[in-house]
Order: sequence, then structure tokens, then C-alpha cells
Amino acid sequence: MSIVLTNSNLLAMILLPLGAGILLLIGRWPAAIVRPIALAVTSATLLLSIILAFQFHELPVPSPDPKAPIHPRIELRQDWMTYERHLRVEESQLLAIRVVHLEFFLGMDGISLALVVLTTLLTFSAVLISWRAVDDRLREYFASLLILEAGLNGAFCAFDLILFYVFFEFTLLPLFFLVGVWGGPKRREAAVKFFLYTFAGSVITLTGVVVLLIHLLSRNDLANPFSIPAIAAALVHDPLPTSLQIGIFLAMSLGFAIKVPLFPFHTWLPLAHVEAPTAGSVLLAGVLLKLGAYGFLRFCLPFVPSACLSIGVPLIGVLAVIGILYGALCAYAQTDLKKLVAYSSISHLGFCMLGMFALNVEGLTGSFLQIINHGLSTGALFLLVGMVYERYHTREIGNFGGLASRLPLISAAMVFTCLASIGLPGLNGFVGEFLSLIGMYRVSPAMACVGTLGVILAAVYLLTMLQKAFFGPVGALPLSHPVPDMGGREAWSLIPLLVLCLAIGVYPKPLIDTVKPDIEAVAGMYERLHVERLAAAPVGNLEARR
Amino acid sequence: MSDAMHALSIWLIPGGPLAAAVIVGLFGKSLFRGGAHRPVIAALVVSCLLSLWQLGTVAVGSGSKPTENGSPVAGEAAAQPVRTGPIAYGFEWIPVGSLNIRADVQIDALSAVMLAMVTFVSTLVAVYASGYMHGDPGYPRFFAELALFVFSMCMLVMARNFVVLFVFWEAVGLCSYLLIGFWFERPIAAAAAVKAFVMNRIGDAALLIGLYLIWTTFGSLDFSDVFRDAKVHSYSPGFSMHVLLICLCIFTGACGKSAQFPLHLWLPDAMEGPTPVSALIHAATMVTAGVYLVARCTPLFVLVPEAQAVVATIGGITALMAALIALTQNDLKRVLAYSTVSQLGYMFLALGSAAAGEAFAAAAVTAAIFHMFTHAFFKALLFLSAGNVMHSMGNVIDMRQFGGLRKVLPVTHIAFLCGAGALSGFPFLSGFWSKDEIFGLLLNGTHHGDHRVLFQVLFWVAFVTAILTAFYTFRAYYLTFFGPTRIPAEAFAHAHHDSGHAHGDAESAHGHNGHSHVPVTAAQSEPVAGDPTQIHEGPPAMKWPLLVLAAFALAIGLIVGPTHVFAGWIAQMPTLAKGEAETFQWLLAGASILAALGGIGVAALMYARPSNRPQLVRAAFGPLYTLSLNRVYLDESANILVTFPVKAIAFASLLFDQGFIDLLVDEIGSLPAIVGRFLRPVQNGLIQSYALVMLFGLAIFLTTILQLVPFP
Repeated sequence: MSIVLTNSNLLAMILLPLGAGILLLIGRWPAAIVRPIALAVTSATLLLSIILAFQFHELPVPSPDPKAPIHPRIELRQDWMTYERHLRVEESQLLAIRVVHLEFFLGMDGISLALVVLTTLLTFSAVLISWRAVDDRLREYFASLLILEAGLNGAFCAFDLILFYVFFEFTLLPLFFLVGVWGGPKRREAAVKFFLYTFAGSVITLTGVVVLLIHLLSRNDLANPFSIPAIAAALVHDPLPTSLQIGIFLAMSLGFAIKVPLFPFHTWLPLAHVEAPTAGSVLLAGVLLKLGAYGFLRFCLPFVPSACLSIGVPLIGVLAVIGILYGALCAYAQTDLKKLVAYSSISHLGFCMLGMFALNVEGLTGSFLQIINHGLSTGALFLLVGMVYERYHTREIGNFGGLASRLPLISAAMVFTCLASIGLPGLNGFVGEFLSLIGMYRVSPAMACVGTLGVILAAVYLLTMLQKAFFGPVGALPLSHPVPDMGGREAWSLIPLLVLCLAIGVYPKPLIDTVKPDIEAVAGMYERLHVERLAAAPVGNLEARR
Repeated sequence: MSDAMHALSIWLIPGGPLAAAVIVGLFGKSLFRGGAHRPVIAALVVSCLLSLWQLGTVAVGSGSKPTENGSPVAGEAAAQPVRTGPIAYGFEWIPVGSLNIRADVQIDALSAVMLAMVTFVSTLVAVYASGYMHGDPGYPRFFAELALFVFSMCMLVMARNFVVLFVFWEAVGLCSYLLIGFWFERPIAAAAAVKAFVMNRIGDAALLIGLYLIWTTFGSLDFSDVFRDAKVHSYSPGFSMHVLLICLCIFTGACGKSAQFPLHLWLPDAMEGPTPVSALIHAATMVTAGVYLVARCTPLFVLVPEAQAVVATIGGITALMAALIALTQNDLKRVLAYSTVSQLGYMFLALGSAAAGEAFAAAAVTAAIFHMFTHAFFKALLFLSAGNVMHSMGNVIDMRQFGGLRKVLPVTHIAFLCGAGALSGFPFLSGFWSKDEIFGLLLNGTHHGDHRVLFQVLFWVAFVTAILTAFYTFRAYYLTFFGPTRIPAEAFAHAHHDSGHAHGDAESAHGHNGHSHVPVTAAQSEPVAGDPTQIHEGPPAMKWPLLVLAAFALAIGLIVGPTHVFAGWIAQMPTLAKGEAETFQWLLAGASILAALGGIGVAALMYARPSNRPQLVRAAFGPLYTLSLNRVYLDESANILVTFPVKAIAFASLLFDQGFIDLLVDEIGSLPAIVGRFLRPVQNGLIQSYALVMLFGLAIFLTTILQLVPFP
């Protein structure tokens, strides 16, 4: 397999949707071909990502430094911005010192790969589900979707700190427009709140990043202080002082925690979801939120390990547990179908964060699986809620009833997706939840046990919703409004997600194997840290440690 | 036979039903229509034959060779394999870190007995259902879900580790959910399905915590590793505390699945499902999964007799409570449902009786599984007979609405009588033998071990329950089949419809629900006089399974019980220490016969002929009667204690979310604007004010500088 091919593939996954999006914006395309163009581009990108996934599995795992927690298996580097300071050492001899050396450094490890495939798949579904639902400003709408896809792919593949931040913020814009222009009645309020809240958070994250960079620039052991793998490797060998780590951790986590969203920074989410068009909700829940968890996994965990251990575990762990229960309870009290799914996201991502801050292989793998699973099952839930909304123009659970006998296909898909979301074994949710919880149990049995209660509550709120909206006698609204069942395009937007839900539940090994080296590298770092701490502890503690 | 063939034949036991489920589930409507039962029954027959063959080779011990060679462990425990029986390897399911969970299956003696029982009863129930569910619009869906259930149940009993067991533990719960809510248009059925799933989930959550504990304690989730290490580690400090917690977690899970107090509330409601489902899932098989799990984990339970005492106590409470409730229920299926709960209590009583000493563990497991085995036949028989009654009575199941059916439904009458006799412990029928073993064990407990007083109480609880069982079973029998013939009006509408239309034409005659057996629960109509000859038994598919089951209910206990055949099967399990063989005690048997006959006699006196005796008894017991009729108000208590508080907290959370957190965020968001409002007057654009401010600023600056600079 030629490296050139994989590298150009990687680049194409960003440039293709970006270019197509810009072309859609500037050209005066007739409405009739805008949709096919968008579909063709997203299909092509999806295909590229799948090809990339196959190529990726044939690549060897490069490990120049076994202690480095991050090593992309595909690398594509290009100098981007360089600022050099010249020192006059001798007469007529200038020594160039690179002060700032930004690279256009795209790369891919297992984690990026899985998230990129998730992005391309969900964008494909998003285009299909918007086919009929949107007919206002078509060009701009599909351009936003495509540009969002490009931004997300870029963020997941960026291995330069500044490049990542650029993509990270860049994704806000298209989603801001998706919510603010094509959203529901309160779309402006929702869009502004979403934008300002997450933006404020990421500015604080940037502060953390800048503090980190200032410290790195003052060290001279780094050839390139902006490359994420290089930073991670350097910080393993020579970690920052703990107090500084804690400061950087808190600053960086705030932005990511808003994005995840972690309790109590979640209130922008239900509003944004309810107002967003279906495709916006799918991408928001399915991928955009994942940037938060991805940020924790990619930056906080490798860069500031001592801070993660000392305050990350208790702080994020407790917030995650609260989020699991609180999100589930709020979902239970909801009467709006879409808000219910939005609150269920908060609960599910609580499991994800809980597993991540177990900081061991089991927890991290579970957390990663939960990231993917939540994208699939919540994405599918939003697609289905969108289908129901498009038919009845309401989302109040009380207005429905007995949909199962009116819309058998949609209802069957809904039952399946809810079961996946509940974490029924054999479907995807279980593997992630189980690994997250069992990983956390090793660290804190109490948190894991309380988190397990969320498993009960998930069944309560989702099955109650099914019972009220889909079962029982046919309600007045479905009775008076005969509507068609799931159409072909809708089915195709959903089927890949459902198939993956089942596949990951029955045979998660390929997915686990994809990220195994990357997860083990991070977990191995923590294991060594643990051992070092034990070795450094006074002898008197030996008994207690046993 | 080659190893590959052997593995294939093992995988075919769950694989056949799975394939049938997938085929019928995906293409049932288009390919099979009314014949959706055919692939399912075919697959079940294959599974059943293969299971019986496995029972023959594994449990009887002729062909079994130890295939498990564990890594060498110090002590004598290593000398013995933990589990014998053929293994069929699957694939690596969750290989993460030190957790390597494989999807493999193994058949040992316990699994083989369970498999044989499950597949045999399912085959009969599927045949029965092909008649019972005929004409229902969801006919293919029913058979797909049924086949999915059999697949899950087979995998559950064949699992080699706790995680795979848990997967199918929940999967059978899912099938139960889907089948209880089969007629999803009925609000009661939809609600009952959710209730069943959620109550099961409560138990499952505890089981999940048990899994974490097992993993951290033993470092593995494989049965073989855990059970082998359980013996080795038993001397280290803190270990027994962990094992106690593990056992309690496992037992809580078992309580959810096997409907033990206080997680039993879902089972009576589950009767909203089609009757074949009640017979198969909620009487014969799925609800016994909890018993199976505790029996499987005997190597852990024997280390902590306290946990076994808890098992016995909960079993005793459940057995007595459910029997008391069953005394007064008017819904025939609910009587049977409470009876199931009560009999499951017996099984846990048996398992818990090993608290008397490790030597009794083998006998306890044998007794519990034996009772489960016989119970599966006679309870399935009773439910299917009740289904026949429903079928002929136009889906009326309230015993006040009909009576004297022994002439109208002669086959059903005989079948029900056989089942009732077995359930009551009528001498020498199946239930008699298995119940007798449990009495023997409980009596044993009063002589041995640390819990003698407890077992004295439990023995009497079991004894009283036996009398009550005989009474309520025959009360139901007499109310249904004796007295003057009474037939509800619905039956005639139904009969007319049956004779007037071909079966396939049901849709047009009965509207949307067609010929489905949606039960009529409320007392909607007065019994009217009609021609009883119009009422007839169901099609042959609904008769033959009954007769087969009746034969088993009568004889299976006698064949495998006192002959020690059954004990010999279970004795193939190396995890069970060879204990004292249960000997038949004539005195005990006499007492148990007296209990059964006494209960039956009282029921006959009260209900065989119409009289005012029931009213007199009812008046005599007054409040106790009301308590029993209202199911000890446990549903209401659960609502007040759990459901309502959770709802209240949920609404409070939502209010807090919108009224506090979100408000706070908005306030912080508006902070810049507020600050701006205060600062805005400063930027008023007047040169004079700027000059003034500048002057002040300059003055302050200068003063500061002047103070800082030290003058020479």
C-alpha cells in the first residue's frame, strides 16, 4: 500500500467536502441538482473513509518511543507558518531559531479513524434525511452540512495543536447557521446560546493551551512544540510541575466539559437540539459533542497525567455520575420527544466520561466505544424523532399513542434503537457501558455502583416513552392524520446505523482492535505513573497498599 | 464423531432457533403467512433432539470425559476439573486488557438438564401456539420472538462465563418484554411489559455489580476460574466478605428474574401476554433462570452459609406470601402466576437449605433443579389448559364468569386435573417427589448447621404453603370445571364466529385484532344461558401437547425421582461435593401426603358444589381475605415507596435544570451587558469630561511616581 495514496485520501476527506461546500455557496446551482451533489459528495467521502479504514488496518503500528502515548499511524506534514528569530552569532553568520513553527500536520490513529468514519457516515445520513425536510436556501444548507463535515474530519485528524484548535472552532460556524437559519421557532436564541456558551468554553481551553505552549517553548528539548505526539512524548519524559498541570487541566477541561456536555455545563444542549433541524441534531449529538470527549482523551489525559489522577478522577468522575442520574431523571420527566433524547445524551455521555477517568484499559476502551455507540444510537434516535416530527409536526409524547400500529417500520426501528440506547447486551451500548463501569469499579467502586443505577433509569425513561407514544391505543392525532410509513431514503439513512449497532454489539473486536494500540499507550502511561508513585511512597504504606 | 461435528451439533441447539427467528422475523409476513410456525417448530424439534442426545451423553456419564484442564493450582482443588462436558468454541468477544471474554458454550450436566427441559417444553408450546395464535395479525412476529427466546435461553444455560450469561440473561428479559407486550395496543399489556423489564433491570443492575466484584476479587469472569479459585482462596482474610457480597448481588439478580419478593410484582402482570408465553416463559423456563444461576454458583454460595440462609429466607417468604395471595384471586391465570411465584420460592428454599452444611450442597441443588424440572411440565400443562379454557370461553379468564366445564371441555379437564394433582403434591405424581425432597432438606437443616431455628420456621412455612397450594389449585379446578355449567356470552360470539367463518377469514369478522386472544378481564357480562354444545375444544394442535405434558406431569417424577436417576445426572457436576444421598423418609412423605389431601379436601368441601361455605369462610377471615384479594397491597406500596418518589425527583430535577442551572448560565451570559451598562456613561463622547478624567488620572499617576521615587 502506497503511503501517498493513504495520505491523499486523508487530505481528500477534508478538501472534498470543503471544496464542494464552497462551490455550492458561490455557484448559482439550480435547486434540482443541489441535493444530488451533496449526496454524491458525502457518499464519496464516506467511501473514502471506508477505504482508508481498510488501508489503515494493513499499516504497521509505528512505535519509535514505546512510552509515547500518541502515535499516529498515518502522517501528512507540511510547513504552515514559521516565525524565526535570527541571532547573530558571528560576523556574517546567522543562527535561525524557530520560535513558532506551525505545521499542517494531519494524521490518523485508531481513535481518529473511528471518529472520522462516524462523521462521514452520519453526514451521509444527515443529507438523506434532509432531502425533503429542507427546501429553503438549499445551497447554503447543504454547503453548511458539507463544510461542517470537513471541519469535523479536520479536527479529528489534526495532530498540530493550533491546527486542531482552528478546526475545533471552525465547526461551530456551520452548526451555528444550521441551527440559527433552518431551526425551529426559537432558533436564534438557541443558536446564539450554543455559540456563545461553547465559544466561551473553548476560549478558556485556549488559555490552557497557551499556558502549556509558553512552558513548552521555554524548553529546548522539543523540535516542534506544536506537534501533539511530540508534546505528549516530551511530557512523559519530563512532566510539568503538578500545580501547573492542575491549572492547565482545569482550563482545558472547562471547554471540553461544555462540549461533552458534562453536568452542570449542559443546559445549552436541550435547547440547541430542540431547535436544530433533524440533520443538525444528528450531527450535533453524533459527532460534534464527541469533540469534547475527544479533547479529553487527546489532550488532558496525555499532557497532564498527574492532574488527571489527582483531581480529574474525583472531579470529572463525580460530575459524570451526577450527569448519568440527572440526565436520566430529566429525560424521564420530559414530555418532548426530542428533549428526552437530548437529556438521554447527557446521561450516556456520563458513562463515557466515567469510563475515561477510570484511566485504565478497560475504562478507556469502554469510554471510546461509548463515544462511537452514542453517535450511532443517538444519531438514529434523532433521525427517527425527525421522521415522526415531519409526519405529525409535533413532538409532544402525549399527542401520540399507538404509533406502532400506524407506522410499523418506524416503530420497529424505534424499539430497536431504544434497546441499543438502553444498553441491551448484544447491541452496541452494552459493551461500552460494561467496560466503562467495570473499569471504574477498579478505581472507585462507589462511583461505578451509583453509575450502574443509570442502567435502570435508562430502561425506565426510554421504555416509558415507547409505551406512551408507540404502544397503547391509537391516539387522536395519528388516527386523524394518516401518514406513510418509513420511505426508502429515510430507511437508507437509518439502516447503516442500525446494522452497526448490532454488529458492534455482537462482534466488537474489530473496533476494539482498531484503537487497541492507542488506548493501551495512554493506559500504559498511567500504569507506569501508578507504579512510580507506589515506588516513591514511603515504606510504611506498603501494608495499606495491599 | 469428529470434534468439529460435535461442536456443530452443540452450536445447532441455540443456532437453529436463532436462524428460525431471523428468517421468520425478516420474511415471516411475505414468505410464510399462516405457516410461520413451521420453520420455528422444525428448528425446535432439532434442538430438542440434540439436547436429549447431549443429556444422554453428558449427564448419564457414559460419553463424558473431562475436557477442562485448568492451569495447575495448588491444593487438591486443582486435581478435579471444575466443569465437565463438551465445549464448543466461538469467538473472542471482548478482548480488552486483562478482560478476555469469549463467546464459548459448554454443556455440563446442569446445562444438559436445563436444555432438555427448555427445548422439550418449547417445542410443545410452539405446537400449541400454532393453534392458539392462529389468525392473529402478529402471527409471524410471535413465532420469531418465541424462537429468539429459545435461542437466548439455551445460550444462557450454556454460557461459560458470567458476561455471556448476563448477555442472555438480559436477552431472555427482552423476549419476555416483547412477548408480554405482544398485543401492544392494549394499555395494560404495554404497561405490564415495561414493568417486567424495569423490575428485571433492577435485579440485573445488582447482578452487574456482582460481576464487577467477581472480576476484582477473582481477576476473571470465567466460571471455571472463579469456581476453582473460590476453593483455593477461601482462607485469605476479607475474602469471605467479598464472596458474601457477590452472592447477595447474584441472588438479587436471581430475585428479579425468578420473581422473588420484593421483585416479584412483575410476574402476575406478565399474564397480559398470550397464554403460550405465560406457559413457556413465565412458568416453565425463563423464570427458572434465577434458580439456575444460584445453582450454578453453588461453589461460591457454599463458602458463605449466611448468603444461603438469605436465599432460603427470601424463598420461604415468597412461597408463603404468593400462596396466600393465590387463595383469593379470581383470574385463573393469576392464580397460576402466583402459584409459579410460590413454587419458585420452594426452589430457592431448597437451594438455601445447603446452609446446613457443605455436605448438603449437592442434595440442595438436586432438589431445586428437580423441582424446577417437574414444575416446568405441570405448570406449563396448567397454563396451556387455562389457555384452552380462555380459547373456548371467548377469552374470558375470570373464574366467576364460567364454571362446570368438565363436560364441555373433557380433554382440557383431564389435563388440568393432572397438572393440578402434580402441583398439589398428590401422592406419587411428579410434584410430590420433588416437594418431598425439599421437605427432607429443610428438616435436615433443623438438625445441622448454624441456622437450625431458621430452618424450623422455614420447614413449617413450606409445610403450610403445601397445604395452601393444594387448596388454591383445587379451588381453581373446582371453580372452573365443577358446579353447574356456566358459559359467558363472549364464548358464544366466539363460537359462532368459529363455525360461521373459515379460520383465515378472521380479520373481517373481528376487525383489526382478528381472532386474537386478547383477554377480557373486567366482569363485563352476566353469564347467559346458551347451548353448551356450541362450545368445543380447540384444534388438535392444542390438544396433543396437553396430553404429552399430562403424561409427564403424572409420571416423570416417579421415573427419575425415587430411582435416583435425576440425582445421578446432577451428580456428574464435579463442583458439587459428594454429599449424603437423600433418602426417602416415610414419615415425612406421610405428612406431605396429608397436607396435599387436606388442602384438596377443603377445596372440595368449599367449591365442588355451589354452597354458601365460601362466603362463611370469607366472613370469618375478614381483613385477611381483603389483604389477600388485594395482593397484600404490595403493588400499591411499591408505587408509594419507589415509583412516586422517582417521578417526583425526576420532575424536581427538570425544574432545577430549567429554573436554576439554566437561569444561572443566562445570568452569567448577561453579565458583560450589565457591566457594560455601568461603564457606558463613561464613554459619553464629551471632550470636557475626557479632559477632566485625564487630569485626575495624571494627578494620581504623578503622585504615585513622586512617592515611589526616592528623593535624594
